[in-house]
Amino acid sequence: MSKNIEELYKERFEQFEAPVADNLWDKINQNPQWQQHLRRQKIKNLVFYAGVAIVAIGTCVALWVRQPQSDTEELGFDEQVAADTEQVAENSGLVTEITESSLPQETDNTEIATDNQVITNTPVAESIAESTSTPNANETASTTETVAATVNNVTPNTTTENKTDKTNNESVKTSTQGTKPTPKDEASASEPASSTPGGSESGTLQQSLFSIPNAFTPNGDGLNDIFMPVTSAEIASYQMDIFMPNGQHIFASKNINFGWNGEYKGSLVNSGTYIYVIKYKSTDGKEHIDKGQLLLIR
Amino acid sequence: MKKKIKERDIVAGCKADKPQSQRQLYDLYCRMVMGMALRYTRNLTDAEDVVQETFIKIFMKIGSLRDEKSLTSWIKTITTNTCLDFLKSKNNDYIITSIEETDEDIKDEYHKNYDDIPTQQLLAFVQELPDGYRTVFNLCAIDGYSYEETAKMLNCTASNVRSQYFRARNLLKEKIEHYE
Repeated sequence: MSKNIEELYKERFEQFEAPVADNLWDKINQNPQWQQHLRRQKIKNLVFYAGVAIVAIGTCVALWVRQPQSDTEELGFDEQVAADTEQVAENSGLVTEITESSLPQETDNTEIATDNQVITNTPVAESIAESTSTPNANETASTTETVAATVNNVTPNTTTENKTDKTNNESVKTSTQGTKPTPKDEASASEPASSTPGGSESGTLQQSLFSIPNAFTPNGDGLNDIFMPVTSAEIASYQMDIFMPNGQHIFASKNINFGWNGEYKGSLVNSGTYIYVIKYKSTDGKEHIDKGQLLLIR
Repeated sequence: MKKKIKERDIVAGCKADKPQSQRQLYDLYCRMVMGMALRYTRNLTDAEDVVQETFIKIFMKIGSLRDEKSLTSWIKTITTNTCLDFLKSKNNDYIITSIEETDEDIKDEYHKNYDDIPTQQLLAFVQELPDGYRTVFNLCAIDGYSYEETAKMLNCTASNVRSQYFRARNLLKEKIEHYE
């Protein structure tokens, strides 16, 4: 049998195993290096669990804090809604004022009074008509003022009406440019502003002959590019006005087939909410007012 | 097959730092590690130190073990490296770097019946070798590393490894020839 040293040692020692003293495991466990490692491991675990606990507590606290926050957010939303309704109320006030101002105002007080009678048909308006029959113009103004005062007390919308800000008043002035704003006219203008909400409500209570879209997209794609009401009924007279949210008058049409293409002075206006007022007379001579907000999406 | 599945569980337990799994791994491999440590070191005390350090390294680094199938070779590599580190810590210059080339015939054969020599005696012969010779002989003859690989591990040249290997072999040959 022939063998060299390498073969001999490889054969004997490649799989060589030696018995191990029983206490070697304990020595490993007592080894300072190993002890240090175990301590580090413990600290690591401690830090990890502490981190988990902190995260858990943090999440709980965040949820707990968020709860009242969401309440306030809801409150904020309510406030927003309130502001919106106020805005709407303002708009409606604006609308009524414009309605009034767009009526023929070059005439004297008596005619305004009769106009009011036609629109509202309320006993208050009748009393105005009676009072305007007196020849003294100053007296008429004073009586209309008192009537306005009484209506202020009676009408539930008076608070919102009083809130109508300067912009609305300005719009009234601009739209009543045709007439010179005498004290009498101002009085007569303020009177219907407070009295007509009741009348306009009765107008909306009347069944509308129009179906009016609440949004349109003047982007030139041929779909819903023009804002106009749709009706199958016979209309005697028709007037549509579009206003900016601040009351600026930007569009008017007396042709029912001529709608708004979203342009003002030749350029497309911004996306947003606009106000429309459609005043029309049906063939039986009844006057209607439809108004509301429309959303312009570009 | 059953052993493989068990090994996988043990490795998973060791990765989760379970003392029970660490003990199981130690029980499985301590004899192999001890056998290697004995032939790389001079005596049992040094070997036990190496075994301790090896297992501490294994438990600390087992997270980096990707393939459980290569566990045995992984442990062998760690043991070898621990042995080399241990020898280095004892004597940094245990590898004799300046040594003249020897032209000995590696192919010579021995017609003596070596099987009579007990393994313990063969181990004692290796342990008696100087640290450098012993290391090179272990790496090249028993663990199957090439001269180049060994040179890399020991941070010296391949020719240096080769000459040390021949000297180690000649010394062993002398010891075995004189053994009765």
